[in-house]
Amino acid sequence: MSRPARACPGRRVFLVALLGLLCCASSSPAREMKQARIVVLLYPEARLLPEILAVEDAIRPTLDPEGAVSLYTEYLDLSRVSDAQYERQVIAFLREKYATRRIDLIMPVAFPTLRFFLKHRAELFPGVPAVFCAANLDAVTGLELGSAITGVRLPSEWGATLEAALALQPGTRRAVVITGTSEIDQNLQAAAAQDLARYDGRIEVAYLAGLPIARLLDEVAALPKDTIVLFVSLLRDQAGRLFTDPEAVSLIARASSVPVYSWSETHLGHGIVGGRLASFETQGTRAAELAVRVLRGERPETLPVVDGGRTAYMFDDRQLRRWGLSASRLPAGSIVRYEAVSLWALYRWNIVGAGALVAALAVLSAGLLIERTGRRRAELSLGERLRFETLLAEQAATFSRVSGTDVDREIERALRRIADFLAVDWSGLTEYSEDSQTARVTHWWMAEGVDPPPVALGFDEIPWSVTQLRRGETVRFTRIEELPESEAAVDRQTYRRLGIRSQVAIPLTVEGVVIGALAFSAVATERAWRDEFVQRLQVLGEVFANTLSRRRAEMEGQRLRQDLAHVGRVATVGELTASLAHELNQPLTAILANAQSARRLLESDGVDLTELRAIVGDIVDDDKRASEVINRLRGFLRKGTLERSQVDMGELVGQVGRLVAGDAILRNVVTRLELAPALPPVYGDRVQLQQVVLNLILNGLDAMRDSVAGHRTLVLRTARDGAGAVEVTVQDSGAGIGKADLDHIFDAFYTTKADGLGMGLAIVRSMVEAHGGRVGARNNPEGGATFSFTLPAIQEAP
Amino acid sequence: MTVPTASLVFVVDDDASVRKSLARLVKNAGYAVETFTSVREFLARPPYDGPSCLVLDVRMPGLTGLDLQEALRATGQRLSIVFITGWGDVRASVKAMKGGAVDVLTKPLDEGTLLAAIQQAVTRTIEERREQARVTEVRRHITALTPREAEVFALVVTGMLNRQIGHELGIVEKTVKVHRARVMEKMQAGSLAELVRLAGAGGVIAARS
Repeated sequence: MSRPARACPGRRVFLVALLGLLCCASSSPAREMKQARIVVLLYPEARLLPEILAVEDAIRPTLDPEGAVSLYTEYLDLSRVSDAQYERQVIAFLREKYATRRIDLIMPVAFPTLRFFLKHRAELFPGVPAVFCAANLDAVTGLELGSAITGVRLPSEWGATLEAALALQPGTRRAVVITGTSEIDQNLQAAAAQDLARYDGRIEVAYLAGLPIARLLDEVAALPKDTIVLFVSLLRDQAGRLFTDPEAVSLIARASSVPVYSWSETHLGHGIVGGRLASFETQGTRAAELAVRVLRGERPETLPVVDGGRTAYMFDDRQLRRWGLSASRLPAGSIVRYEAVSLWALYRWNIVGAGALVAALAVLSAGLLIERTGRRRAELSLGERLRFETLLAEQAATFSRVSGTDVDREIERALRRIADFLAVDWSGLTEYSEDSQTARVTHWWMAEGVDPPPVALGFDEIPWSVTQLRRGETVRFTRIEELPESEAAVDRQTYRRLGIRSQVAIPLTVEGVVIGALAFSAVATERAWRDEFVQRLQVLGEVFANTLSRRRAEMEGQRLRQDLAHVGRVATVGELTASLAHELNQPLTAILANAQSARRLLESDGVDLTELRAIVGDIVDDDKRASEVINRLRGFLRKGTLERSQVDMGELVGQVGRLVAGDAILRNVVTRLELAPALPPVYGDRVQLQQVVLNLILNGLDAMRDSVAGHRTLVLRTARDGAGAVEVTVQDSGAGIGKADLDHIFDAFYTTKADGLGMGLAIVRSMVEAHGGRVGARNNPEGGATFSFTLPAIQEAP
Repeated sequence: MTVPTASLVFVVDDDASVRKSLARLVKNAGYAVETFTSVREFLARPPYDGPSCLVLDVRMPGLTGLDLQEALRATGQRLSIVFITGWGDVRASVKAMKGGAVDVLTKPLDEGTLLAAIQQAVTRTIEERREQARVTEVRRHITALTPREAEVFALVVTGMLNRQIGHELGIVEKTVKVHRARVMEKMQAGSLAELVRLAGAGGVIAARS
């Protein structure tokens, strides 16, 4: 069972990996058919900034849902190196690389890239149409876009953010604007300055631009109370240190003596209070939509430049509380995130994933970039390390792209490549399942001739190792004898039985919880594990952990969408009730009339049997017709699996809240979540419970239709109700419930709305009661009404 | 329940089963029945003058029952309508009742309620015909009056005394008395009270100059 000898694989793998990372974003060359359209994405940085990831994530699915487009990605590194020599090298490289390819479309992302592209377009990509994206042109003068180009402008809405800040902190006299020295930093600063100039006289604006980070942090730490910080961008400080904006914003927010506001969704959750935030995802989607039209043959000059894209008032609840700012002063339609239990759990996975990737890449990118810019040649002594880092970086990039079932394939591919690199005999990914006390091997790779690993290992088979891993410790041994003799006696036995001689196992941690482990084992020979490899494997573990959590989130999201599609159907049934009643009533009317005729006929002398037969025949026909209506309804309501399970009402309320978030914004309603921590689960049908919450929320939103805008607040609350129950309440600030209506509000067909059917709350009551719960409605002392329901909680095991 | 002779029930409903079963039920109760699948089809039928009832579905594709009610009123046809509806649509019901419907019944229909409503409708048409005939009769009598008698008639029903009427018309009281007796005779009225009632039915308004 010896490993096959490899002829200098290091160099080859390195080059392939490098090309893979630099040139071709598509990891599957099989996709590159001859007829494939070629689109080149140009990014300003050589780093996977969160903004770039967001744009990329949005562009791919819209531009290329079938995998028919060949996407090439260039990371131009414009913020680090901007001298003429570098520019010449990049141009030479691009020209060489694309000389023999017929490019269909260029997509420059961000303003510096657009500038670079326009400057060298004639030389590099003559005649190729272009769609730019995320470029802020607000304060750009003298830029000639030229022909065959369209795109999406990045909006600058500092006015809106400043207004919101002034509403939250009415005593504000001064705003300090933070920017760095890179081209993007300066481009965005100019746009901000233009916005803020309109507030001259109302507020004093100072610019902290082009300082070394240490000075900057000292400055913001000593700001007086009547000041706010407006974070624009800090990709590079004066000393040339590079940051990602989230990194910089968290440093500044942590140091700042006053609240920090910003302009990008990617900054939310990193210490900013909030603001009118732009979405890079929307930027990417809009640009991809334009790109699709250009690829279909529309001329870019006929497509006007899209101005802005979506922005929204978004705030971080934790920061509001940190600075004692009242959520009631938020602008109407504000989205508040990071509340007690996050409403944005699904979304957060992506942020966490992207953040971790960026962190991992920040560690790993240095060597790559050196190679990339062609300034220094990697030395052989560095080769092994670089090769491994390249492998990891590429893996991280791959994971950030793939989704759904591709994830499994990529995980296995990664395990193979890393095992290959480390020259181990098998590598495997195990996930821990709490209830069954087993470590399930979900993905593995093994060298030829090596027995496959067991499908699962009980925690009791490797108790010491599991304990270590679940504590977040790496388990590593070159020889089994290195394991503690008495504590790990069972582990030793198991490893011997499995024929494992050496192993390194990295815990996979998501949000502080160990969800599994990544293990590399040697069977044939003993293996020493060098510290620096183990450290890098730990980084890899992070990448894997985030990939797994993202996949879980995706699967959860998919299931949720299916559920909600069903909820949508159930909701529609409510609307259909009128026409259903009509459809059912017709045959019922005929049946009744016929039966009554028959009775009349039977009572008369000399029964007309022919007529009677005809009547009964008609009754049978109409009855069949009625059942068909019922069957159709049943088919409409049928769902793949309808089952009762443990349901976390906090999570469910959050999900439904998110579903209607858009609706609430449109109706100028501020939605607030107040979810009790550690709520016991209930037992029920998730879909029905979603319908219950949805109906109550819609009812609350409807109730505020005539309220004064700005005073429309919907509070979704979960709480324990005594020992054995969970209570969900939906509180609105509408007109309240009339005294006469209070007793009937849950009755079927009882409605106080001109166009209501009176079914929504009736459905709520029947569903809640079917779950053994109770419904309630009361008026709030401060106005508006509160609807509530309680469900019996699942008793915790003694 | 007796069914007046020659009374005819029209059933207008787009649903074939409903139409057929209602027709059967109504026919078994002793009425003559005609069925129509739509408002248009019904409007194409020549107007019927005898005792009748229109059983009309509120909701139908094309022209609705309410449209028909309005069309009939606009053309001066007085038909007694019993509306039937598949859904308790309050607004439609109110509109139908305001438009003079005999009743609005919700499907499925109770035999007793339906037949009672139909009978009420038919009775109403008979009464209306009778009233109509009486008005025609009174009008005919009025046309038989001389101009002077008509003048006296118009003033008598206002409650004026003969002397006042004479003064008003510039004739002597005795002549008024003669005209008055002629009016009572021609109008076939037995008392002043009856004459007043007839004047109301015939649309005679006091012609005080």
